[in-house]
Amino acid sequence: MFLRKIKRLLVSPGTTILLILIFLSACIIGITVPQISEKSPSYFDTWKENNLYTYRFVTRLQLHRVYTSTWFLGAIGLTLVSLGYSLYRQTKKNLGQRNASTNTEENRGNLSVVCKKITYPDDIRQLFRKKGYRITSTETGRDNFIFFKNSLGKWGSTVLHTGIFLVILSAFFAFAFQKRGFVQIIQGDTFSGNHSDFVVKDLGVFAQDFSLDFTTRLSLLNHKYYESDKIKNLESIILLDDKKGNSRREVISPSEPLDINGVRIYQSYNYGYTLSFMVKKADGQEVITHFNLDMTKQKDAPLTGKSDFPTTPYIFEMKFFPDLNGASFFITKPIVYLTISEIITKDTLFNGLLLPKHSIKIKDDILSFIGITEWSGLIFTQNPGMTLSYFGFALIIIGAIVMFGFPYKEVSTSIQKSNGDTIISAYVHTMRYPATFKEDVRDILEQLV
Amino acid sequence: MDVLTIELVVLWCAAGLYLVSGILFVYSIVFRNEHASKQSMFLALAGLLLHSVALMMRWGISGHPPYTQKYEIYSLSVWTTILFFMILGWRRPKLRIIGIVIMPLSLLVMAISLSGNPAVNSLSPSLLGIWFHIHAISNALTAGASILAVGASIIYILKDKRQDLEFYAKLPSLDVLDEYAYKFAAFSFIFWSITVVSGAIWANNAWGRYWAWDPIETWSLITWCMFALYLHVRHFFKWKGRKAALLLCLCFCSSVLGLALLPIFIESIHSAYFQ
Repeated sequence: MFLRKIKRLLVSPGTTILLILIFLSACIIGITVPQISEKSPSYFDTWKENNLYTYRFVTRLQLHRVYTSTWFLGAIGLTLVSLGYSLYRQTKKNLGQRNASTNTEENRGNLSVVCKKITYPDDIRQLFRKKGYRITSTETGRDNFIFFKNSLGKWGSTVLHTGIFLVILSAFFAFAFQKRGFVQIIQGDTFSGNHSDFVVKDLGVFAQDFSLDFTTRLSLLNHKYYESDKIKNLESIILLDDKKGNSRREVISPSEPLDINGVRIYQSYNYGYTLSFMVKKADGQEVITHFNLDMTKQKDAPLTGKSDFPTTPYIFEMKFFPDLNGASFFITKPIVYLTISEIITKDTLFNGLLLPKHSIKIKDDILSFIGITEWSGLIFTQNPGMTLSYFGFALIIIGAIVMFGFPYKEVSTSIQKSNGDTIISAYVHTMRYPATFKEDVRDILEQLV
Repeated sequence: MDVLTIELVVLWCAAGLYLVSGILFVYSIVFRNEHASKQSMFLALAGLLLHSVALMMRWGISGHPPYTQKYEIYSLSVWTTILFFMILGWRRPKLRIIGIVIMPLSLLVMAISLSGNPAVNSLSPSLLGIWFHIHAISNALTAGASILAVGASIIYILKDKRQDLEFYAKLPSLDVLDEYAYKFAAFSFIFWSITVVSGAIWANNAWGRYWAWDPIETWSLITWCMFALYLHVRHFFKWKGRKAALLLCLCFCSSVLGLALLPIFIESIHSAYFQ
């Protein structure tokens, strides 16, 4: 009894509407309430200080991480169960029915047309056939026919909802098992593929380790621009070496990711120049450091960066002008405007221009600008649910087209003779659009008049 | 005059014809003049032809299909709307009257298009895949279908209110109007599904994620859910007529909010395409 009630509740229209409304609310909250995935922790600290009650309300209901909140995941889980059970029932019903005529009165209608000439059953049969209707094998009489069209229409809803089911299922897969990592590879350098060498990682709740069975070497980064500063072409030429010693050369661009051994590699829009410096300390020790500067949106604008120089007491503030014909101070070479300060005292030790292959003296050390290369950002992902998502996407579209574009239609016709006239009566029923269907059938029958 | 200026002039001429057509539709309703209604259809058709020429010119100048910036996206949306309306008017002459809603709405969208920067946009590498083209085209088709759906709903509400007027008697029955609104809403839902799905696949190819909960893409999902809600309440709760028409208007407002207003106020990766 209880189980039956639960089952009835799962497929009830009210539950469906409620779940859609919960989903809608979550989306609106996701847009309007600041989310932890978008804001820094300090933003939430400030919020807490300024408005404790609102902050408490938001955090208790997990509105600041709405898409991973317990209530949202619970609602999605319930959607999955409800959809699954509903699909089971729909499939059972569709397989059990000869055709999919609906039992609701709104989807049915009667109409009749009076013909002033003699109409033969064959005329009706031919006319409906011409309009794409098929005749059922079971005729209720010699002059009575049942025509139907779009018999696949009854599967539209099942296919569409199966698609939604698969997409939600794959989203759960991604939430649990997806692996995603970002690396910055300097031209000529190799990324080992080790879990610890990713700059940023985003793993599913049950995903443990993201190590690759191949290494990635960046041979070349190409970036070309339109006159309007907009990027025209961005691609990385990479060399992939697996543990068996196989090597392959590939080109990755934003519109052409690469699939290899179940891992997909994407070209990120994060890329730029790498400035390499060497500090030769007074005791003869040499320290080399590479600074990766992010490319700006304007191609002529300088690339900037501020960072400490490891194992030295210096902070570097760089303004790099890569474009030879652009806004560089120095006409023929790329140049860096460098400010060096001491970490503890904050004293400025150097403030000026430095050319590649040139050196300057800072206190007792010698700093050399040893080279300029480029770096490329690559994203590595592994998502076992992706194929399922794509399959789900395809089913959603096919289902929607079949369901609303080709609904099941059925016409039962009968012929009667009265005072020398032929009266053709038709009884129509359809899955959708009964009023226009009735008009269409009337138009067809009136061709006989 | 350079080709870009000529294209702009042709587009303004098309907008002018749409305006005159819209005025004639209003005239035909106010003075119950059927002849004016026919003339307005011819003017809308002439506008559509000029609009097609402008879009072809645009394609020729830029070297890519015209849907990569605000100016082009809205212009293409108007073009699909008028095209759908012409097909509907040709197949169902009784429904031509919804032009009184379609033409002003189209003009409004056209005004947004013309307020955009007409300078030719160069394609960024992420716009090179086939999925972007499917995404943009189905988006324009959604706009066309949903404007027709809302047009049929508004005419339904008007007729429902003043059924006693002789003029409204010439219109299709309330049932048929309601069903056309439903039909176009269903087509919007199909095209919107294609838009969302192709956008997700395109995003997966370009950025490595098929869904990032970006405000614009989230709003597109909200609109999709709103349409799903409309279709469900019609099917399950037998919502018809005025209630359904009002809900459909709300769905339309949601899509307008997501496509036209949200990119202005909220930072999003999609914002660039609407500037």
